[in-house]
Amino acid sequence: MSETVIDLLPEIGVAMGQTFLMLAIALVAATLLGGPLGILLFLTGKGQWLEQPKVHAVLGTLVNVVRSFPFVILLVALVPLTRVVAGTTIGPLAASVPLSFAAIPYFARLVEQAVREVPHGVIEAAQSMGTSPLQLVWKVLIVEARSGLVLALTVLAVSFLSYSAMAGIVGGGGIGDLAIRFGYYRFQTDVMVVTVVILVVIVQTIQALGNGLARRLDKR
Amino acid sequence: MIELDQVGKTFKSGGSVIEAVAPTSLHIARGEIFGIIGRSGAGKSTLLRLINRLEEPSFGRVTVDGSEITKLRGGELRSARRGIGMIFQHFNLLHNRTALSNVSFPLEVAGVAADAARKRAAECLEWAGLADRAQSYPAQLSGGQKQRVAIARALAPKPAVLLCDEPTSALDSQTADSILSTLQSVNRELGVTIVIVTHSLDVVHRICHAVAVMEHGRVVEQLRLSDSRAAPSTELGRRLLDRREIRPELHLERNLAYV
Repeated sequence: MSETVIDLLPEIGVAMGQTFLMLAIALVAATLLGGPLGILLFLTGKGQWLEQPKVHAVLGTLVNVVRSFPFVILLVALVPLTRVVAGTTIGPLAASVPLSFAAIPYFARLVEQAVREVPHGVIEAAQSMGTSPLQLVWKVLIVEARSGLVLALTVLAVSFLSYSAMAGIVGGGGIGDLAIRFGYYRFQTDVMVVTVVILVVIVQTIQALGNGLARRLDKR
Repeated sequence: MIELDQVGKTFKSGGSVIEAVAPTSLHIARGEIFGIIGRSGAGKSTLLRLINRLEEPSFGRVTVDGSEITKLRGGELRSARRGIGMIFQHFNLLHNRTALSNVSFPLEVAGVAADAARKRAAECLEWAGLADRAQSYPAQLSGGQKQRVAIARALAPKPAVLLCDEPTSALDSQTADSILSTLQSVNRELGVTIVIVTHSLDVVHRICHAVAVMEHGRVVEQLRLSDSRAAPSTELGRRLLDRREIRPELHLERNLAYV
């Protein structure tokens, strides 16, 4: 291993911690807010139980608008919001705000798609047994779509691992930022290679865990 | 037991209004097995779904066991639905739950304590002859077994009525036959009133006491299978009564009489 990489080892460790912190915050926010949003998108859709064309159209447009922003622009545009929420505009915590903001509608779409895989007949059967809308969500939609939901979360994690590399622009740090600062700007190819290898390993691990869990949960 | 009073369903498609079920009045007596027969697209499934309001009626009144279903709202409708079981052509079991857990589902939803729900579910599964498959997932069961689980699930909350939407159409004839026998026991042993939608004359023959024939969203004829003087006016009605003579059960009774 070259000297520059060895010198950078502590920094790589810190960067990994930052990456995981940003990723964890974004995933939690996406699950807590994007999940319900996705379920709502599904339930208000055409032919569904709580069919509400106007609500569905408004939610759908909102999701599309946020998803249209290139992430770099969102990162800068949200600086005022970041200051309010995180109290600062630099560092991994600050970068987590725009990351979460982008992850919420992204996950909402993935959840909507996953839940659509539940056969309509199963939903109808649950309704015929006197299920309330909330029971339908918890006991039918989430349980029946759970392997799809795990895969959705896996896709989200992988995408946002790569988004988090852009966090460097607001001083967010993380592995991706390290790759850009040392590997790209300073032409330290060895650092670039090491960071990319680390990212590949992380992605492979996330995907393998996601696939494994999804397979175990799927009884269809 | 079930009273339909000028119930129907229309929906708008583009600019025009389509009548899926014309205003229909039916009386289904307590303890009866009532068939609704017709070709596909005749509106028979829609009519069945109007009874528990899986399809919202556009007009008319539905009364089941003395309570006016069409007047109920939210929670009232949900608790009324617990007294009306339903089974489907494609079983519609919850794939990620075991057979036992499928059967306890309607009880869980009704707020029955977990222990009591499991006990009742086991009882129902045993009644359906599937005690040994309690821990199997639907994917591990055959079509006939799945429909039995569905029947057990529908019976778990002790409904007074069981609605059946083409319950044997996805099954081979032997399995279909055994499911029909099970439905007959549900009716005889448990006193459950059954409404069964089918496109098969055999099904009506085998288990129904009375039948409504549907064409183009209308009930065009109602017949009682025991009525020997009935003069059916529709093709399907005639074919139903013509074949009455070969009803296997009647043969059996006749043979026994000679023994």
